[in-house]
Amino acid sequence: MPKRSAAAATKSDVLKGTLDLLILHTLTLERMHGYAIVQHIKRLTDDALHVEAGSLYPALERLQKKGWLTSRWEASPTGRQARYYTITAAGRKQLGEERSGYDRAVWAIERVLARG
Amino acid sequence: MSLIDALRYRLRVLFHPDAYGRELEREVEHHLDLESAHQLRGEHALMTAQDVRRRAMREFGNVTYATEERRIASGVSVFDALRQDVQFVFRVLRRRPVFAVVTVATLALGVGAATSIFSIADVVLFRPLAFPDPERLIAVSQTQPELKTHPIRAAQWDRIGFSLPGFRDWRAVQTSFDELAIWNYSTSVVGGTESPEEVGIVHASASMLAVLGVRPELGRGFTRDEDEVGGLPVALVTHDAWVARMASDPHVIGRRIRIDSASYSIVGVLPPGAEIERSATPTSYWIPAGQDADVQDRGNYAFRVLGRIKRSVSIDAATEETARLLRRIEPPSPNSAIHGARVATLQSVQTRAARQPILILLAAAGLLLLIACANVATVLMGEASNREAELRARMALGASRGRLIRQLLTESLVLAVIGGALGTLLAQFGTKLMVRFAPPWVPRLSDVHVDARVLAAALAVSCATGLVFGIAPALLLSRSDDGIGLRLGGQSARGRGRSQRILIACEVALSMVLLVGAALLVQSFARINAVDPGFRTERLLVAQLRLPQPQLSDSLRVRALARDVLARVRALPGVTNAAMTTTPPFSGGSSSSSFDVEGRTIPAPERVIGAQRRITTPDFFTTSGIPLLDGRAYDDTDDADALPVIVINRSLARSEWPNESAVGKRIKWMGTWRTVVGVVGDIKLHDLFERPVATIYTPLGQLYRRNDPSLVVRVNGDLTSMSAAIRGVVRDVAPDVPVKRIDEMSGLVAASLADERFRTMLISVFAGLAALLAAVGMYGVAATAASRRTREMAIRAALGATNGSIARLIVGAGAGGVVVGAVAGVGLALIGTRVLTPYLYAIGTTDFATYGAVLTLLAVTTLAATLGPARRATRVPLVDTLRRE
Repeated sequence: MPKRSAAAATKSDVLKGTLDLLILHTLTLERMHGYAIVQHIKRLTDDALHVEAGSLYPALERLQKKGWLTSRWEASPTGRQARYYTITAAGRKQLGEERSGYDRAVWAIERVLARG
Repeated sequence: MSLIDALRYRLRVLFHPDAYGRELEREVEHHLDLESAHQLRGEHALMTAQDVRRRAMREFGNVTYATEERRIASGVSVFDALRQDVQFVFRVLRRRPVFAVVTVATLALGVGAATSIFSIADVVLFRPLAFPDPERLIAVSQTQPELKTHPIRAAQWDRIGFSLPGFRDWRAVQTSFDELAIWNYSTSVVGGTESPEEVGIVHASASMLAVLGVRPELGRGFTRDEDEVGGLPVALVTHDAWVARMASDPHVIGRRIRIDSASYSIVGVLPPGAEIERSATPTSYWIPAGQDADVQDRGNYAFRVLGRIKRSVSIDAATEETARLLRRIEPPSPNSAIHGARVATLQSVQTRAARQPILILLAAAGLLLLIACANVATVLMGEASNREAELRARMALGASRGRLIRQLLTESLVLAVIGGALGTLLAQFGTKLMVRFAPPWVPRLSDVHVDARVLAAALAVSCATGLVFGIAPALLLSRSDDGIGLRLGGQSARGRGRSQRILIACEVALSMVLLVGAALLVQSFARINAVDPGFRTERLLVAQLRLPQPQLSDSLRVRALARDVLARVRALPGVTNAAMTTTPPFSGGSSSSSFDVEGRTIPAPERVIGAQRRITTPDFFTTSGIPLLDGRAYDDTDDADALPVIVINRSLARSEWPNESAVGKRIKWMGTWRTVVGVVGDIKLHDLFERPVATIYTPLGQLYRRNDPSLVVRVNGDLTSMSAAIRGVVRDVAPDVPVKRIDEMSGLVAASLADERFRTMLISVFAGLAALLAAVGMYGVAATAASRRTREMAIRAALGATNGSIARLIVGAGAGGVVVGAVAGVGLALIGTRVLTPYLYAIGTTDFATYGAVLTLLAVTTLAATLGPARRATRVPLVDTLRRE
């Protein structure tokens, strides 16, 4: 069994809006395929955040539909065809907005918790 | 950028859903493979491939769920569902072909009929004329109120034209118009004697182009000098004639053409659409109006007037000024009874005659569309109660109400779209058909085409009906949404039965209006057709000759022509008799003169208005079959040297000598006292409904006027070969006299009824469709009642009800609505058909027999429509029904 401990609750419950934020941010580094996005987030958060494929792919569709991402089939380093996602200019702009929205929310929650 | 990316994404998802689906699968596959590889690299290096795969799957989550979620997110699912719905609809409709066909056909008929008539009305009545500033384009005419009671000229009382000198006097002093022009229309023969062809000629003054606000497409218009007696013979060619006759030759200016026997040189080509008025024979050339020496006479009101009213002047002010000036120019006298002026926009004058009939047709088509909508509603509601059980079952199995509503909506929409598409086709076809059969004088018919706006409106109405009544059952479902309805089957549909009956009542009432209207028009038409024209019209050929100018002025040559041509024609095999006359009946002309009666000192207005003038050879009466009532007809001995004689018709004899014989009396006619030698029967001159009008016949040997003569020939051979033979004789005897046309008199009589025939035909077709739709609606109601109440019927049968009483119940279910509808319909028809009064001949709008006949037809239709379902209800295997429930 993999580590299913205290982090289990947060693992899959990445908030919807936050997931978009994470995906967009991840893709500012470079274009990636879906599996790489999952792995990247997992690695950065030390397995604390686990993005399930069942959430990731719908989110990718949603973001494409909004024009924030585009996708292309390309050869991966292993030589197989994989679908690579790229962030668009509109996506970067959106990232900025989501980011400041997120910062405000975090700031607000911190304030509440500090008082409590 | 983002918009384009997003759009590209959506288009791909939308148009390549399968390819996109495969991509999604490949991507998942790729993900799983990488995950498996990862697992292998990690602590589980010793696992079997199957285990790895399983773990990877677990790590991925529910693949199906993820894919489905993904499809929803991509937006594919909406289209998927729609596609599913539409496929489902087609399955449903295939299972209910009658329902589908009835709904689609009903909508198509309603949309088609309404769109056709609306398109025609739009162009003919409402679209502004295609000239610049059309509202300033004004038609001016003189009025003569005495004519209002005249048997055949009543419609002309406010359409009296202008004489050329009168017009010039008025134009010089008037201040209401920027520009004024005169015109009239005639037909002439072009093409010489080899291929004589009748064309329309407009005689117009030089200022006409300025009045209309158009410029020649090529060349120039007429100059002022050309518009005077002695001006150069010039002509303008209309755009259509230029294209058709001259192959759009750009070097046409200067070409010479022959109109009748005169030669004209073309100075310009008119732009397309420069048509002042539509006529049966389209206009090919314009020639200057003022050149003709015949029209310089003050008593010849030969011209119609068009003007550009000044922007600052109202129509009322212009009317007032024109009437005042005209009275000053030509003071009223016993011989000229002109009293006023009518000033109105050209558009209103053009559409005046067409307006009322088209509005009536519009109302009829509107009724038909309403009936069609009511019918679709009835059928859909009936269908809904049939399907209640199905819908409840599907709900019980987990279909959401939203999904059911969406499905019902899709169903109605599919029907509405198919019906609308067919309706569009029908409208195209119907419009063409109506334009073909419409009377030729209706303005601007050539511009009629199915208008997108009109079509959209009719489609919107029918789609709305389909949607509203299609969704009703789904909404009704939500009232009691547990499983009770499922168990009870259709029992809860009672309320719907009532609304269906109301709809049927409406349909019946509306159809009644159309049926009564059609029945009245048909009877009126039959009665007009049965009117005796006063002479025998079958196998009577009328050949209209056109005398070129030199002959026309020479009475001796015309008499010689008559003698020679008639002798040769009579000698043709198959010809019984032949005569010559001016202005033959039913050929559109009218010529009259005032007269005096010996011994009468008080001038009577009838004598001023005058009698119809006919100059004939002696055989005219026997050839046409006009009975001689008193005295004798004139004969060849009544020539220029003999005592001047006339034959009068019965009306004139009656009005002047009610109590004694007219024979031997003297009438001053065309400047000479002439003795009445005979009285002949009245004949109809223009149409079959006119009252008889005083007519004086004078022998050609004693009187000559410059009127084109016609041959009337009684034949018993083949009409076509006889026509050819007559043309041949005229060509032999007088090569320079073209025959304008040869018609059979009965054909001319039929043509005079073109308006009535068109109106009657169209309204009858609408009424027939309305009756058919109502019958379909009734059938629907009865069929629904029969299937809905199967269990009730089974119980009744079990308790001893006879087949007869069960059938009566089913018939009765529909009959209630029909009776209410019929009563309301009688009331509506009594009011509605009043608009037909001016078009009815010898029948009132309250004709008892007509209402009786329509009600009987309705009763028979009801029985016929409901009997089928009623019989079926009695044949249901009742025990099975009870057991099933």
